[in-house]
Amino acid sequence: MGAKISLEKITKAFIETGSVLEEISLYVKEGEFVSIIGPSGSGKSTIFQCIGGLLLPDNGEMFLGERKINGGTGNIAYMPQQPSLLPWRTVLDNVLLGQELFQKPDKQEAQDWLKKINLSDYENAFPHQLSGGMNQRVAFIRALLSPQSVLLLDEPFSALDEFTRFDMQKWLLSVWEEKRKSVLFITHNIEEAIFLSDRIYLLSPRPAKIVQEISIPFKRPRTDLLLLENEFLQLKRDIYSALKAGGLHESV
Amino acid sequence: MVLLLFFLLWERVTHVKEIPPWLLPAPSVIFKEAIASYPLFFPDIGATLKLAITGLLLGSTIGFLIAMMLHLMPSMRNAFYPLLILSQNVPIIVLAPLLVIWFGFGFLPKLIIIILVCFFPVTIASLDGFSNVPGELKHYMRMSGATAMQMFTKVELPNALPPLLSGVKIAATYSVMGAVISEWLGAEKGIGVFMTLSSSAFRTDRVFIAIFIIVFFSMILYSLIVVIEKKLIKWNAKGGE
Ligand SMILES: Nc1ncnc2c1ncn2[C@@H]1O[C@H](COP(=O)(O)OP(=O)(O)OP(=O)(O)O)[C@@H](O)[C@H]1O
Ligand SMILES: [Mg+2]
Repeated sequence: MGAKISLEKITKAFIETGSVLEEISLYVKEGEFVSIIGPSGSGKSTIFQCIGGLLLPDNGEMFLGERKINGGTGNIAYMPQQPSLLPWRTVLDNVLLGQELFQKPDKQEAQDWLKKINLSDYENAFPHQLSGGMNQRVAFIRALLSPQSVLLLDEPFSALDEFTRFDMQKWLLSVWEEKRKSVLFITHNIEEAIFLSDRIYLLSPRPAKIVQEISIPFKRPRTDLLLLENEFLQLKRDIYSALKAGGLHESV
Repeated sequence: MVLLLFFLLWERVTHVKEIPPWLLPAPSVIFKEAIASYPLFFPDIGATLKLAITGLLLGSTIGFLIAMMLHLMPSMRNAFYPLLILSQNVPIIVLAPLLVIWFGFGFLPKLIIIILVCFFPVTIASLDGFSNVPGELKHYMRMSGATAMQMFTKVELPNALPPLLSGVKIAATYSVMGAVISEWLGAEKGIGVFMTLSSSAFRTDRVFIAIFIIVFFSMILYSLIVVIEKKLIKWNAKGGE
């Protein structure tokens, strides 16, 4: 089907909490940016843990290209909500970590990227010397330079304040335009999802099912002006009502 | 500062109350005696320090290796943990004569005593450091496909370095004391020997010299490790600038 990564009817239940994922099917094409919106505790992170190989789905199959990856690790690059940089490593060494797990890291490439995002001066600084937003940029570059071609981002901006958050969204897009990996992005924020994505999946509350798939028609590169366009606001309203109809408006 | 005040007070009290020197000599008397009998105990310092430092290095290394073994092989943990606690519950005073019976009066039984005293704080501190890795770091590493070995070398080991060094600091303060105690068992040279001889001759001033030497070198060793710590740990306010 030409997808970079695809999930086919993934089902997962925990002994303690019962069914969490019910027949989740989704895909991300090569170089595509896809978001998942769903209420708190619906099972979004659980989907990621299945793809990452930390959890084995009870049913269903996952593919990277043609290869089945159920239970396998190291197939995706990852960026969590917390920067999760190693505090004893410098910024540069942290960026290299993702590569280091699989191959000899390319220091020059990492330095070039730090320069591109104006963090050259901080190459040899430690994470505690940087702001939260800066650390999150480092964490994204670490994921982007990891050898895997698929990126999983789990609410990467939700711990940041509103202002930094919007800056980060624009920044993320600009960087991603330069190195287009396939991205699967989890968020609570409708606006963020529309602004960033090519497609959006809406999840129901737990047990999570996919209730709707929405294509976002806007051309790239996108600018902040987009947020004021009628079509953008209309999409926002549509998604909002779809979520509300599913009983999830409390999450937005 | 507080130390200076303490010495001044001590000096005053011994003079005013006319306490006989064999009971409590004045600091000035101790100091004069230290300079006078310097050649007498100088070789003792060397012997004790050699013992203390060898013991500290070996003890810390063994302590670290034990921690690593217990951490990487959890099945060993249940078997060996009680043994570890036990090793600390047997009083050294009881163990020491036994060690002499088994190994004689040489360097070895003394070394074993210091190792026994030193390894424990290092083991406990390292184990703590290995297992106290923030959950989000572990999660990132697992999601990114790190192997168990990579998790250990890239995360758990560096995470354990600060507590490990704290453990070595504690061990360092014990090591000089441990060396002196082990010398009480019988030795040709050493501060412990100097101390026993002085005390049986009621040379209280010399006993105090021995005490000051112990305190002094414990502090030197401790500061040395603080310096190493500053060099190695630059990533947080605690260790770095
Ligand atoms: N290892 C586990 N064992 C048992 N239950 C679990 C486990 N992991 C997750 N759950 C349960 O699965 C449900 C979904 O959790 P998950 O973290 O995937 O939600 P989420 O959509 O990511 O939530 P949030 O938006 O708060 O991050 C929760 O109710 C949680 O209690
Ligand atoms: Mg989550």
